[in-house]
Amino acid sequence: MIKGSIPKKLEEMFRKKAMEKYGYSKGAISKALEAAIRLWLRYDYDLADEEESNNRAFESMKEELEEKYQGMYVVIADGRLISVHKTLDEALKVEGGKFSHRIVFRVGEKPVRRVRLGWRTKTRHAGST
Amino acid sequence: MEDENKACWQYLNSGGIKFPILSLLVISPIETQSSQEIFVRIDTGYDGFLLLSEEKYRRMGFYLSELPREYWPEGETVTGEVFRLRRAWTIVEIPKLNIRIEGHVDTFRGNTDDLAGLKLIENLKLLLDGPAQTACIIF
Repeated sequence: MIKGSIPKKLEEMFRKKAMEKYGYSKGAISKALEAAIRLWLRYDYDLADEEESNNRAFESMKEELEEKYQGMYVVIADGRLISVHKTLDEALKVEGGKFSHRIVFRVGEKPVRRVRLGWRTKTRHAGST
Repeated sequence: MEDENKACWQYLNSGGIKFPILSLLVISPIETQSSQEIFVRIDTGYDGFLLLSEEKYRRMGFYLSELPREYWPEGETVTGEVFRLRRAWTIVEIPKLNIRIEGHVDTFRGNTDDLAGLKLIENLKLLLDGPAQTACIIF
């Protein structure tokens, strides 16, 4: 049994949508809640320990990297900076067998927030609809 | 189906629908594993460079060339679903034409598609020959 509270306006929208989708029956809210939770669980990734450690290392050294290595490719593994390279080719060849995860980053690269996934790309079924 | 100036691939029939495809040699960041030739569908609705199935992304070792998590974008389907992508660096080659391009490879949970997106094809001269059912890269 899950209990919690959400803003009144959001609850009204959720109930209205659930009724439209699943009908005005007793189980409609539960079905909609299950589908919503499945979607939320699928939205993001949980990182393994080594991934987490490499990402924390990146965050801690990001400013320094931007000052020193603009346009270069840096390799982070084992929670530390491993090497810096002029080309992606060189960066991809570094000590591949030693680690289960590495970050390869071109310093100065700007993040892309959202990508359209294609005309026919589908996701797996997220629950009862 | 190749001559000196172009390489061509027959459209792929999938579920009764024919799609233009390319064959790419995708370079794996695992030193010990040979890189793999992959047939990818050309999809102008995909903004990215290369989308690979979750299984290929894992098997080819792209966990060894991933961008920092804050640089993983959200992916959005045509039906409006939004979720996180994983993103890594890769190099793709078309050996016959001596083409070598660097870009990002994406995947997401449950993905089984392999797609060449706008970021990849902006590097290529492509001819989609509908009557002949071939996709060609012209060099």
